[in-house]
Amino acid sequence: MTNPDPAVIIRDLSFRYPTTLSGRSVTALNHVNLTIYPGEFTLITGPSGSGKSTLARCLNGLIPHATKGTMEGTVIVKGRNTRDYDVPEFAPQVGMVFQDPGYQLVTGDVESEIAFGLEIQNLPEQEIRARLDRTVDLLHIGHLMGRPIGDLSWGERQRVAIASVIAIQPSILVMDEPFSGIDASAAQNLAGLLAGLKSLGTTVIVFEHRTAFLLPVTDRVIVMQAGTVLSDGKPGLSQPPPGMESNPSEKGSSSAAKILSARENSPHVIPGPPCGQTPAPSLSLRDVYYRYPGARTFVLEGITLDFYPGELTVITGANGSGKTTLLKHCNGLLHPDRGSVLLGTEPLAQKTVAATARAVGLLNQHADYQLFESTITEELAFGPRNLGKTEEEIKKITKDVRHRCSLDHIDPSTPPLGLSGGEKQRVALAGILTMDTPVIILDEPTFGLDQDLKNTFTGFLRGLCDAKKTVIVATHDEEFGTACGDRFIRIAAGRIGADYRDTSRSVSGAYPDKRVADHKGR
Amino acid sequence: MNFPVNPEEPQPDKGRKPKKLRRLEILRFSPGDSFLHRLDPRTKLLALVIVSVVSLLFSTLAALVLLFFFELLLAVTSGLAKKFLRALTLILPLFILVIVLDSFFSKASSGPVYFSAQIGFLHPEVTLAGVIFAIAMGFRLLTLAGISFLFIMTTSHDDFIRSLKNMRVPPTLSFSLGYALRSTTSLTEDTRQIMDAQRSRGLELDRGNAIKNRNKLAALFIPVTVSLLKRSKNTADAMQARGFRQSMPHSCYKSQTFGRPDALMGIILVVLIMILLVTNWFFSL
Repeated sequence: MTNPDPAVIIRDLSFRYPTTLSGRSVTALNHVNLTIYPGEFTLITGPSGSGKSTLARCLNGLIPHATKGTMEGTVIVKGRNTRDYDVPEFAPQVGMVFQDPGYQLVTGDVESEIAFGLEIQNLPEQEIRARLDRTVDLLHIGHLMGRPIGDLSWGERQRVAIASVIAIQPSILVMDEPFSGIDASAAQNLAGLLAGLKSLGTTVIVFEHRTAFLLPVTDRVIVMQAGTVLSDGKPGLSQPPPGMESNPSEKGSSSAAKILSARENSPHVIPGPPCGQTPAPSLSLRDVYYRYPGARTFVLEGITLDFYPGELTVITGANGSGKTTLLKHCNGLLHPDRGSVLLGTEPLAQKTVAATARAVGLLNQHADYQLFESTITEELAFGPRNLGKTEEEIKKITKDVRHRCSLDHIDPSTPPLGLSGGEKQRVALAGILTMDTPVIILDEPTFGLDQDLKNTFTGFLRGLCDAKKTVIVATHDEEFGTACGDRFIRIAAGRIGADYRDTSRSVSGAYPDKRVADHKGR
Repeated sequence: MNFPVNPEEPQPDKGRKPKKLRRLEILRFSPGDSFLHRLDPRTKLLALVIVSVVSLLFSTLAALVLLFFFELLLAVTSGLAKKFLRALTLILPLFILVIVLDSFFSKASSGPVYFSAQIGFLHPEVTLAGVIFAIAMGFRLLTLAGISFLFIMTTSHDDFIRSLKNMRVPPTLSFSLGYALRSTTSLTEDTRQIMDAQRSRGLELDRGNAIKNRNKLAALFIPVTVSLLKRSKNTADAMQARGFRQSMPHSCYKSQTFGRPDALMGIILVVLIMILLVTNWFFSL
């Protein structure tokens, strides 16, 4: 570890964000000291709000140059102090891939995108061509060339984003939560890709709380909490903090592997109602076919499903397999081209979405976008008010839901737009729950939540099931899915790939110890 | 060294747009390898300007019809005839309006009078010359719109921006223009997501007056604004991280050179103007 020439030196770094709408001033980093050597593969992990993203932004000068706040201490990257050089000047050394690839792709097609960063460097045409070809070979994205960016899936966009950064040939690659939007197989691919870049001599720094996929390839794991470095060491040696995956390599991937192999072994079966329950489904899809206007192929092809009260159904499937489309049929945002959707015995076809919202609450992907009211109280009351509930009822349920979504510690008169990412996500969720619908559908609810919050959330979802709600969760997060579901459905290319119940878990009564342990885990 | 590949990453959902928007989508770049596609974007830009100016200078029916058929011919050679005609139906209402208004209130009024009236200070009158002039004006509209449509359909945003770069337009300006052109898609998508989210929360957008209620408007307007601001901030950061600076020269990885098609197009344009002049000489209408 004694390399004379460190890639990154961080000395006594503190950062404080300016006062937000909610009147809070957040200290994101608190006296961080860190030295990273060339060629190292470093994984920096920690719960939501521990300062990971903030630290990432310090590595190429976005802090202090582009982000408002107060920075103390020094960051020296490749011998240059980030205070003295502006962000663009670090581009040739530090490649940064942001969490959402959608924001960083700025041209229309893959080729121009990769060339964009090189054109900015004012490189000659031949050099750009050569690097373009090399990058395409390296990342195996030949099949994406010439395709418009708008047609690519999340995983493909991420790959292009990496390619566009790698083409500049930075010696340091920084990635902020690259695993939060992709499913297990894409995550495996990405981990392999990063390992390959490391073998080429790139210093890789990944900020991520889904650690299971990276632990086999990483040299060093740094755990952050509340803006400080909690531990720093080789993988397996460092003590995981409370709230992180306790033994991620085993628990995370083995349970994910278990569920995957179970799926392979279970052919296309449609389970009936769970034993010991009245066989009256609360929501049914009957032979649903759907095709987006103008598209040639069906997104959903003959989906027949029944969802039962008191059961938590987990829907998984690769990015773009039709999960979200399926969920949008469940509350009438989309109507099937063929087949029908029944709410109890009533067809949804004649109802407006707002009318269906009395029975079905749907939390969309990236739900924090839906927040707009000036206080949390108002935000939570928006849904029930639309449904025509009395103020008395609203007050009662709002109080209850705030408690259950761990929002008690936040002043209810805080504007929701001033909250942090994880808090916004919880307010958005609470905004659906206050509608008190018998069917609750959540699309990727764990986006950006750390293990600690996920555990709380799992317990909370189980509580809803105990209250005889029908809960449907679509997620690409296999670990989370296995931890909370009763029934697992996999969608593959618009069809039901597998559908089975976890028989180890009796639906009507006591749950296995594992989940209890998860609750206590925090 | 071998990287793992994911050969069949699924396609995202395509065409997730309401029907109204789809009609406008004919007006998009459609990839191809025809004569027009192979032209240098700068040549196309020049042709766009020349044809537009010519159609404004000539006002006889014969010349304008000829010009329109020239455009139609270009569309046929690029395999876009069907799309071109469908796109023109977008301006059909305007086309009819121009013909009707110009028929009644034409500057050129000679020949047999079919209709005449005096309504206040207005003096609508339909004459043979007037009708012919009106139809000519209709075709002028078609040629003006048509040449722009052809340009849009055969030039990708990236090529267009690249040609601006080559014409020494400052990179900040050319990039902003290109980014703005592309953003419409992502903004439509964001807006739809937000509408879906609020409808799921019981907001009635399907019926009733959405503007009646302050809250209904706020429920859409505020999240759309927030997501727009977030998008621009994040994109600006990402661009800086990739080294984008104002006022720095950028190179271009695909240099554009004038080739044989461009020379051919130049000749065609010159011949066209000469034919038009001759037609104008022989046909006074």
